[in-house]
Amino acid sequence: MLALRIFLAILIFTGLKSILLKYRVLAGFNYFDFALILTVHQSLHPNLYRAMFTGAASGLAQDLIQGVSKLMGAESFTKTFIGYVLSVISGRFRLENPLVRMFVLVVCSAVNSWTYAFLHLYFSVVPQGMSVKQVGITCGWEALANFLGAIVLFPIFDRIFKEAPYDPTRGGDLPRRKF
Amino acid sequence: MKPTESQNRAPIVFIALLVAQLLTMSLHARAQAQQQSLSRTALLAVLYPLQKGTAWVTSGIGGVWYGYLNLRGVRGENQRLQAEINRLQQERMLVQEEVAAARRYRELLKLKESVGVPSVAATVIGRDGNPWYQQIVIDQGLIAGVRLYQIVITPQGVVGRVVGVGPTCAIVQLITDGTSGVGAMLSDSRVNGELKGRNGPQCQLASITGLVNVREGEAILTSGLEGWYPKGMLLGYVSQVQLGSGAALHQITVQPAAQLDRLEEVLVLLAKPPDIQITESVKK
Repeated sequence: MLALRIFLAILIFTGLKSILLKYRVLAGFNYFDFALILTVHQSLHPNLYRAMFTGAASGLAQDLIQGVSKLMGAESFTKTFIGYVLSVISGRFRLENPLVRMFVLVVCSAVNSWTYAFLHLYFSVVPQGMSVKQVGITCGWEALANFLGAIVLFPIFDRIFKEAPYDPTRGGDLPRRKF
Repeated sequence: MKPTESQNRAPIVFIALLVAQLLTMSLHARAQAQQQSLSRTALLAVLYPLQKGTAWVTSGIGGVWYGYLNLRGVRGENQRLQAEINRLQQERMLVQEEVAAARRYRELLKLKESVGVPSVAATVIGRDGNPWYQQIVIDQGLIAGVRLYQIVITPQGVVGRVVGVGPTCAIVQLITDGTSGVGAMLSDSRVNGELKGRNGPQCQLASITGLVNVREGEAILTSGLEGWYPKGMLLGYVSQVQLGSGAALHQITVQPAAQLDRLEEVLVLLAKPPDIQITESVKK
């Protein structure tokens, strides 16, 4: 059921962004990365599969619907990577605190921007203007747009993806955390 | 607490996912030599229904939401009168929208008749969400006769060219795209240069010697020298000039004539430059 909710959220929000971009409703809206915010939100819990598949699916949706870019799979790669690594980290540290997760999102946004640029460099398909300085500027704008977007979206996701509390009678592992 | 077998397999699944994505990227990067790859055709085949579907769903949700907002708080007679006013206002807006659409279609039809080559009108159904590229998706593809590198125009001016084609949709690279380059010339002095995209709202006209007179507002036309665009089509207007000298080139900023940030309908020319004979009415 949770997977279905994630799938629907990916479809609706990615499609919505595509349409809003078409009509240019808000300046700088193209810097806002819904897929990253969703991936980070789902990766704050130590569930590796959920984190990486949310990252892969939301990135793939971006590659398909919005990113008619020249490097198919780049968005999916970065989100899968971020999802997995963040989920591993969240197994050790508690990251659900509202302030901590905003900080984590900004860091992930920067990682996302630089990994995306690195993949273009690695495959020798660097678009014109993608210099280190320009990637830095874009990274800043994306971090700001994602931060503002997450202020709205994180509480919405908290409600949409609310899980039942841990029930010891049903067995299963509790997250192993040091803090 | 020992990790479960499923948890042990997670890194393997993770690496498999990354390898699959790297392979996908590798395939696309190899198809960069301006060729239409099979994977891109497949991608475009699934792209169209996805975009159409999401547009339909989101506009439906928007309609229900606005309907709820419009009716909320209306009571009794006020409700009836308000609804009547709303209905009339909506009708007026619809009529205005239809008049605007009819005007656009009329201009497009006029252009279609004047270009002198087979062409197909298309609606813009998507835009690239990536800040590094300036591309749009249109709702006509291979079935309608659209092929790679065909030119896309509006009554205002050149939009760009087709860089990817699916069965029912196509990707158009705008002239403002950072990887776009168009042979261009100044309308007054007829000096040739290259119009380069900058991934922003404006372009740059490069390779114009500082010895030539350039004025703001001067029209920039296609030169046809690069072989993709026919000669004499309007690209844009000079918006800013940093004058060069005998040794330095002019730094010329160009505002595209077509309103690339609000494209709705475009015309795809179904022929390539040697076959395109642009009539005088289209030439500026």
